Amino acid sequence: MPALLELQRALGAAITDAGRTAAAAPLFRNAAHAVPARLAVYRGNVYGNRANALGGAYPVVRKIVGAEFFDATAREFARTHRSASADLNEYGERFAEFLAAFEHTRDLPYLPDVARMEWLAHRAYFAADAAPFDPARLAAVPPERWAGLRPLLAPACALLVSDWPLARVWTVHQDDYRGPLDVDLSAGPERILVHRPRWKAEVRAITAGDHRFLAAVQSGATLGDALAGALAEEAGFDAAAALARWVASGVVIDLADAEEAEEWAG
Amino acid sequence: MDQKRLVGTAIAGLFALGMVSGTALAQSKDQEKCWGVAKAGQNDCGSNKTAHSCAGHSKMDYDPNDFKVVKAGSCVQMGGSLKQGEPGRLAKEKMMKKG
Amino acid sequence: MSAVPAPRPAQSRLGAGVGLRARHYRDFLESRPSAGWVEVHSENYFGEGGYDRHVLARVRADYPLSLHGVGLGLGSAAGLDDRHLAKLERLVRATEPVLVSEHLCWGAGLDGHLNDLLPLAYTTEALALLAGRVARVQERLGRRILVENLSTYLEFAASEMGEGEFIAELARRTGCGVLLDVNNLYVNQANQGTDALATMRAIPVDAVEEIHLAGHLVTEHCLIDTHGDRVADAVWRLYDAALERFGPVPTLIEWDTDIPELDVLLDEAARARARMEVRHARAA
Repeated sequence: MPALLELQRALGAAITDAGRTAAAAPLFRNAAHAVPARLAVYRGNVYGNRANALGGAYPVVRKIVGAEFFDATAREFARTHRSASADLNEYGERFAEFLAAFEHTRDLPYLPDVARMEWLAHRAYFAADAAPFDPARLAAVPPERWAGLRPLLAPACALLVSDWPLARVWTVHQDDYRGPLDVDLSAGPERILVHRPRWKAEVRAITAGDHRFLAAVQSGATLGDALAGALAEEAGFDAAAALARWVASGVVIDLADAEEAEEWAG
Repeated sequence: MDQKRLVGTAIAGLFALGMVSGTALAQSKDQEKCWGVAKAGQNDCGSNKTAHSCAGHSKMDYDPNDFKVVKAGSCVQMGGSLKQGEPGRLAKEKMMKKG
Repeated sequence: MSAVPAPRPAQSRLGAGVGLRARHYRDFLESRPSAGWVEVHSENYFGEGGYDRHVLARVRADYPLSLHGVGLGLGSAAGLDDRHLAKLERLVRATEPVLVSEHLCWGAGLDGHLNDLLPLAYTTEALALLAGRVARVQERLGRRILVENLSTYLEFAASEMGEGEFIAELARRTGCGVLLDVNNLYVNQANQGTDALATMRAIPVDAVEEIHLAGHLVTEHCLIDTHGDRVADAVWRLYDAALERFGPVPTLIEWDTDIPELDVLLDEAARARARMEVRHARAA
């Protein structure tokens, strides 16, 4: 008698590959003639659940290409991309790469970057809530340690650089947007920040200096190095305005004092 | 400007702007009244709606050569027929920086 | 194998509940509808933060909560996903639900997840595997879980016993409870020719701690468990039989596809409650 693992492997193979239906039929108690349609129900579940998940993660891409085209494309992705998680909210990270290579979307060269942006927004939706910035902690740090503070980004924050005007694409495809739909696709390049002020992910275009600053912060730089880098990137970079902006909008949620942490640890 | 002065200006700016109220504002903007924010949960235990149509048609095999669906979304207004592979300005900038 | 010591909680007062879905968040936050309790799919709240977790915490303050897992795949012979179990544990500890349930199914092979509830072969090998898995999950969560009978479109010829017998033995070995899905019993009766009443009779009376009711779709090939319609009349009759055997067990209306206005779910829940009360009055 085949072991459980073998039975499951055979059922799994017959679900994902209709060509193996006949070989699997004897494993079931059901009448042989009924097996193909029953397997197809499972196939419809597996691919349909994955395709639905893609629709949830990529609503802007779906609006751009239309629901029918999107759903067919999502099923093609689902058919060819395994799932690494039982949580469908984690499915579809590689959709951008797929779109870049998919012959039917090659005439929309901006689409992969739109998908990259949406994946970041999708993950931001589920990210940990950020504790609000605590000015009292900063007030306790002596000025000689300010340059060594390490700014911390809210967990939902992510950065992306693109040749395409992603922030505008994002804006005009939001459900509550009522303005004109025109997007100047030759307007790029663009650096964007994905963040989640409270519950809804937002996308905003940022300057080269801000991008350099936030990217440095993201990789663990000190406040001094991050601001100096931004100034080197963008001559007119206003460090005071930038720090105030990112703290006020909940993007920078802490300025961590490494020495204080060491004292505590000691 | 040296780093110390640069950072000093930035932190002084934070204090001057009274970050307490600023942060509170950003956080309280939309506490509850943000209907439409929620994504439909993707993890369900009901069989997929499309399972039925799959059982009834040869479509169940999802023949990749049978891809005949036409795009009909906003890509039309957004200039859907852009020339293929034309690099944007940023890519050009990057290339110039490298070169 | 030692069962997790957990006294059978007095939950019969929960009555009839409904599944909490994103479409109805506003109803729950604004008007506190009269549902006895709510149930969510655990995986939809695996995020570390964000709006769903926020709403869940708010609703949890007003209603008893049940966590119903759809992804753990207790019977996956290739292995149990420890990362998934860790997320479930975190959610259980954060929300302290009144009930925690999983399906009697498998879902992952050696090369990934299939993201569906797939049928088991009811063999002694599978029983040993499931008993170990349920014990491991109960130990990890520090509490008893309920295991739900599955709706199926195919059944393995290798099965050595019926689903009811399998569940009864699983409950005996691990001390787990049973989530009896009455619609699933009906779907299987139509799809596999199994006897729904006989399956119920095989399950010990005091093991059943929750009942599920949902709608299905009748097709030319088989019944499909879509959770996309009102409960069918025949399923209501089977529910009466379940109440007769198991008593006024907390009952949930599940609706997952083509989700209607909340009032429709509440109306179904009211019908379930009325049937519980009729049975209760007769017993008194």
